[in-house]
Amino acid sequence: MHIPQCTYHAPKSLKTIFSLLKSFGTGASFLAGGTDLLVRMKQRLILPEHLIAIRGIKGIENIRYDRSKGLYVAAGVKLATLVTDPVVQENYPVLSYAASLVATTQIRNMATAGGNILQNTRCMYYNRSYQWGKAVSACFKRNGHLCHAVEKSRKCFAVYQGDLAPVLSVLGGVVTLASPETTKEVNVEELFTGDGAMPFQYTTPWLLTGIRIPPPSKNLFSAYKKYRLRNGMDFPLAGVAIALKLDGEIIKNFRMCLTGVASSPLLIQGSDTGIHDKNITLPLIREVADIAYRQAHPVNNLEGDASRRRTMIRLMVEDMLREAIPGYRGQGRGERKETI
Amino acid sequence: MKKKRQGSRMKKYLITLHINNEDYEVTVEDRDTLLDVLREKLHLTGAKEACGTGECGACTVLVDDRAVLACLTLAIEAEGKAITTIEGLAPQGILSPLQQAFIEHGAIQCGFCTPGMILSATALLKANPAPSRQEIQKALEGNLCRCTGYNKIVEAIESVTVKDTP
Repeated sequence: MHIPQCTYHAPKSLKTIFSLLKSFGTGASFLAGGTDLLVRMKQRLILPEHLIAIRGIKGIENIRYDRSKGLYVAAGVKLATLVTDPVVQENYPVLSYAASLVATTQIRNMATAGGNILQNTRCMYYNRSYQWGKAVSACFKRNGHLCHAVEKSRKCFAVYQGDLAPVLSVLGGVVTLASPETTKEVNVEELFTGDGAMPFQYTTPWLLTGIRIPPPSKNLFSAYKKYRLRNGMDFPLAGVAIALKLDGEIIKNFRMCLTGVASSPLLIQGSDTGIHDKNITLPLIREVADIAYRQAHPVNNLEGDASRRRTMIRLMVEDMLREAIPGYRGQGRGERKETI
Repeated sequence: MKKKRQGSRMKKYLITLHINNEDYEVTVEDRDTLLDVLREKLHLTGAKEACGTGECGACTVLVDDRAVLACLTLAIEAEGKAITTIEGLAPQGILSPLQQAFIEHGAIQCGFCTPGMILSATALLKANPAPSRQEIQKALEGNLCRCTGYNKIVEAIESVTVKDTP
């Protein structure tokens, strides 16, 4: 399977990148690890005439940590580096763990943090071969006017299946974006439109250059769970990240973010659920799990059954929050008495 | 990188790839993958093309000692890096201990996945000479064997790991 004709550029600075973009306009795509982009090109889902590699930019593979400022991960940092970097492992173990669950060893050696966040939405009626695409009517994501997954739908239901974005979102991560005129920082969740066909707010000429995460706070419990059919390789059919700050058994801050169940990561804040300043108890945990369940609306457009994926959201939230209860760690589901 | 025009509007570049400790000068197009170049231009056919989309691991090669997918690596981007293919593990036809272990444990059935499996395992053993069974399985998660001979593959790798001495 060949990559369609295109011209490759490897500029050494942001300035050159933007001057190239000015010449090529929308016919250009940024290339980082290539594990998402080149596959989509091979399947003729996108046909950029120019590939502008970001790997030549100075510092694009740097990780910096400062106790007062937190962590900065440049966009070109490989996922394998996030998995093995001792600073990330020690201060943001949930990020390192989520990166270790992405795809396969080979892909983690190639794919980048920025590319993982900006991976395109997926659907089993879209991520198919060129020949398959020719055999059926074009859906919204192929510039058509229908959705194969949800009959009579007026929008695209392609699913965002990134593993890092939900984790970064609950940790309060912000991304740095550069354009020819300016740079800005936005919260991770603000990158997404919620529309499966056009999932990102900031497209070319905006370039994601890095990710900043605040310093880890004391008593912060964070976790990520991912449901998939095979433990190696698969995208999340449903995934949940949580970050929870406790004062004893009282919930002081809570953020939860779902992935794999909508066209963007779904952030649910503790302030919206009314659980702040309450004791962490099993009935409360079930309440939160129900909130997550109600927010998730997967449809049958991935390998897994939609109702099963939705149920898994509830179970995963419950499991993770049980682990957060002081003194509860290490005990399995259902082993704790109901009277906490 | 020297640019060299050749007739049509497609640009071609003369690049030098450092493969198995030797330099190869080769003319490539922007869109050529490392796998295209290895198989079709240099006739190093150990790396296989199966899915072409990064799911099967049959095209695995080592780039700077890390396992990567040659089908999703642009040849241009591999210039200046140390590339190892399965052919590079047996210079002068002498098999590496891991290759020998694959034979002795019957870890080869049809053989199509074997180069990728061995290179993934070689990268693992270079980084961690004494991996646990779980670590071996994790390192091989990107290599599919359609003959499903995973147990013997893992056993072959375990046989060459560094054992704790009492």
